[in-house]
Amino acid sequence: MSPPRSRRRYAARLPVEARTEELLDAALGLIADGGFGAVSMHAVARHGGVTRPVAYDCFSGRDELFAALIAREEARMRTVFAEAARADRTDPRRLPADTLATLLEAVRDAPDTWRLLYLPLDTLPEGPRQRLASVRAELTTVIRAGFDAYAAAHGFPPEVDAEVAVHLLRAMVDMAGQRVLLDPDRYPPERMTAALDSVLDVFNPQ
Amino acid sequence: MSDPPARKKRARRLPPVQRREQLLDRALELLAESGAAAVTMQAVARAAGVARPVVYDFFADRAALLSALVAREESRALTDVLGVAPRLQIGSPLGADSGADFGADSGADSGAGFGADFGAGFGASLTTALQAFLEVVQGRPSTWRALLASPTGLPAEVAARLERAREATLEVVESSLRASLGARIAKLDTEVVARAVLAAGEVAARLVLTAPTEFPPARFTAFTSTLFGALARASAPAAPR
Repeated sequence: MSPPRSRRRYAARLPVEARTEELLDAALGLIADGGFGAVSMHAVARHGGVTRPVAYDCFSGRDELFAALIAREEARMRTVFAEAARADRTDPRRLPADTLATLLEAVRDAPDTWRLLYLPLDTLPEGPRQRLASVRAELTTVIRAGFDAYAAAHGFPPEVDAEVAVHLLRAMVDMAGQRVLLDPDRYPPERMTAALDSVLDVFNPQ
Repeated sequence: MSDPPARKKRARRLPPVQRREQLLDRALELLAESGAAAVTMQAVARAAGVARPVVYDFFADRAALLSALVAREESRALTDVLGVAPRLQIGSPLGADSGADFGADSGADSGAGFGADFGAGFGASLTTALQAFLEVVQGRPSTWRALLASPTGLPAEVAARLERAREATLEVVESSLRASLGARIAKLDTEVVARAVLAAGEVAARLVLTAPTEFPPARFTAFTSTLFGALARASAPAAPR
């Protein structure tokens, strides 16, 4: 609520599209630090180094800003899911680690984006909550497709309960993603995929 | 906010030890049914049929109440878990003897490689451990709902306490893995594998608690035993083409 201090520097003039992107980046940073509750037009403007009227030129208000932000981040995440779904299926031994690597490298490279996926849903405003729930469901679909391909390549009988498999795998993927978010130096993607490979190797023909 | 409506009935006088337990029982029900946010001093007083000051006689504030509750549930859970400790030992011979089913196809031939036999034995012990754990969870659902509750809405000290319990569990799982898988896997990353095992165990427990009809413990143990059986068969040398 305190007025911007006199050190206000005028941001360089930018076309509205570029300005919009910058403000979305600012909002994403605020959410990463303090959740959706930390986002107001005022905070976004200040964080983005512009005056409030400039922010209102880009978005009519907080709801529109959230909608634009979630649309952008959702598209980014879905691009990664599509890439993960394209993991090499010719060598089933590589499939689990390749899929996991694609996901975790994306998390490492854009942590603020992926943090959205792991925010407790009950803390989110209605609009973002629905969109992010749908993104989560998409991740489950990717995992299901990966499991089906692995199962087919290994001749798993139908008694191997795919629904249970996907629940358990999903929990393990989430654990790995959260570790990378928490401490990427201690838990780099390579560490997580190496652990996975070392266990699966026990079952690979020597 | 507002006081409970006039229907207030006097609670029977209870000795302090029993009263404290009763308050924790009501708090546990609130936590298990409606989540941490539902556990307020007022809600606990109302559920126990006492005036709010009675709750304050026992607990300084909401955080103290939740702390005491989580401590009590942790110790109950620990007692249960210790009761089945031998079955929880991943990689112990207890599970391996039932591996005959899984090793049968591949084990006959000594060329099956270490994957098949070892994997089947390990899988069998994991199945035994999972079954023991999920039975413990099913035997005390409210306790486990509390322990596995989302940290949203929990006071920081209580969330930290639950986190410490998780880390302690992690260490136990790690040492169990070190003794079993570690013998087979050079440079096993026990921490990461243990975290994966715990994540899987936790989601299984949540499903058993939230959808017991759809996900009874037996469904998970059927899964692990068929999965490790299938993996063991897949790792056997290629059948004649």
